[in-house]
Amino acid sequence: MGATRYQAMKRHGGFQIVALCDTRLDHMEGYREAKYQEWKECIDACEPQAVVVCTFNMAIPDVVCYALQRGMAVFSEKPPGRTLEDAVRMQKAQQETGTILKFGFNHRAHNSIIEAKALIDSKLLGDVVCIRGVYGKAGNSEFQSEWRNNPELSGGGILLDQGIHMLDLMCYLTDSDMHVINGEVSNLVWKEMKTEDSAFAMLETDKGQQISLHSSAIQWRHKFDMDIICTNGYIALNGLLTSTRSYGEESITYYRKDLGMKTGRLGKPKEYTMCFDEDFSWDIEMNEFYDVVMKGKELINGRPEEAVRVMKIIKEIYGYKQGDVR
Amino acid sequence: MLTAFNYYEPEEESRIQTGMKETSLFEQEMNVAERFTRIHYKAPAGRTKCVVCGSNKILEFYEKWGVKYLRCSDCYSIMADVQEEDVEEYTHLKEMRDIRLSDESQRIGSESRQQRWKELLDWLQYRTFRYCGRNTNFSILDYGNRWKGLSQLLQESALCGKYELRDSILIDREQDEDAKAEPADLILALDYIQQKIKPIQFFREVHNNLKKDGLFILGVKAGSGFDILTLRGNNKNTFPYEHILMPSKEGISVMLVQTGFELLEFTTPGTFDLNYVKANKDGVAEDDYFMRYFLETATPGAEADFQRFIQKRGLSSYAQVIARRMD
Repeated sequence: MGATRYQAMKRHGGFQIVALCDTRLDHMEGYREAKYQEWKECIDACEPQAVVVCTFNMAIPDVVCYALQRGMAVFSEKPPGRTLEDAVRMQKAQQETGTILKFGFNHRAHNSIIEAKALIDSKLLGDVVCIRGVYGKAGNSEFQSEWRNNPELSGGGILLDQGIHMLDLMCYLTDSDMHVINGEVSNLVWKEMKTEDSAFAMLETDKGQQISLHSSAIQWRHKFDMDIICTNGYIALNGLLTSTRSYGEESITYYRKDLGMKTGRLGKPKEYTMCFDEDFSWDIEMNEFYDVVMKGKELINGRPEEAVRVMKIIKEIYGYKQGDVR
Repeated sequence: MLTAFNYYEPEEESRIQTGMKETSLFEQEMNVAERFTRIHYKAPAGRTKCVVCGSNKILEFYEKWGVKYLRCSDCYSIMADVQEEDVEEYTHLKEMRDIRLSDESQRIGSESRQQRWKELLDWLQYRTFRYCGRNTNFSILDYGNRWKGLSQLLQESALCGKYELRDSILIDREQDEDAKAEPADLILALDYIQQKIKPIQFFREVHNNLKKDGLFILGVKAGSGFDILTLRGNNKNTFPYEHILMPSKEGISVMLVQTGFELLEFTTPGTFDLNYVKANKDGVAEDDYFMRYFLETATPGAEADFQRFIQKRGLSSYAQVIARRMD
């Protein structure tokens, strides 16, 4: 992720990247900037205006809080740490220091999501009443031993790694907080793995909208699907454009409720589909961060309170079966 | 870049489009255009440069009613090699104006286009919200609109705060010439630039008449469209002097950039190209073996896939373009 963010900053042109930090030197080969293996030493030595944090979930809160306390603006990858407590800690540090903290909830900056948000907010299809989301991963031969599935480093499995994106999108698109009605976190296939390979959740927003999520590492192919049902129409988001294109073509399709069959047959109204063949999400995020830091614009996406909100939902889902959040 | 398409199954489109052609009125218009052409067109204007991109690589493409159509090898736009004064005369042709302004034409047009206009309005409301963060109370400058029904629908919609027509048969010529528009939030030019022999000049005018960050919405027959390129001079829907310019996707992009716009989206939501070509398959070039084979053997499913591909990849012949004024 660090390399992706690096490239986005380079494309932007307004960032002067002064140093890189990675525990492994070989990861930084070929870069001209100063190189460090200790993050604290890097921050202290360079005293940059901003720090971009792309590291294991476990390390995120320490790096973020340290940089904030040194008065630096921070852009951090998601998830915001391993736990709700981590997220709250970072939010508190941001509030105490008054500096800028943005989390990289990158999916908001994808074309189909931008279009869906505009379509929903335009009220063309009425109000959102429910959303179904499926975010699935294929897994791989080394999946069980990946750092993402080491709870010490990651704090959780597929729900925290990928499901968090979809939960953030669901809050974003409904413009609402959610609470958990039912949750099931399981190891359906990867039985020996210490983190879940599947998470189902039923949620309800503060406005009474019904939400369902399946976050899966046992989809056996990458998949991103979201159905948004509105009072006067329906939006389908399918696929997500990534560098490998493994989540398929990214598209948004919408249908207007047409019970009078003016646009098609009953059950098959006119379809409006938009497809995208370029992904500007990384640039959009970096552009927003730059504008907030350098031009004093308001931070809209990835605010600390949004990070806390989504981590609270995740904690509820993880704790649902144990009954510790009901 | 966004690519988009609005999709019907072909048979669905045929059902919905029944009566859309308003055949007899359309034929009357075509007859007027042909008569005008036969009388006025004496010889090619001798165009040596593409009116869209300025390239001198323009080659004869086809001929219709004696008028030579040229195609630019650099930007792929298609243009008729006609005199400017003839175009000017055609655009103010009283006989054509009378047909189009007749109660019958306006009534039939309104009835058959009602659903399409409603969808256009929905689309405008969605896209303005997408790019401007609002979809109400826009000042709109509408170029070339010849439908009272559409003009009324726009004016009565929440989208519109202030509305002005320009270069339209719906207003007097004197009234039009006196008009001095305030810069608008939104400029519409639907089915308008097809009669522009100097499109860049028009784009500059639009730029001057738009507010900063205002949107320019263009609807145009695209010279890169499937049925235009397949049927060429045998395309009954395009004829002189009604269609003297059919810019390609690339050509539109060139003109927008050159005149200070950012191209936001180019989509071709057309659904009828293949059906149209199929209905006129005698017009397909004899040596276009692939197309002839396809038209004779394709199943309905294959036809639907083909049309879908055309729509999705911006290759249908009617383009909707949104651009933003840059400063």
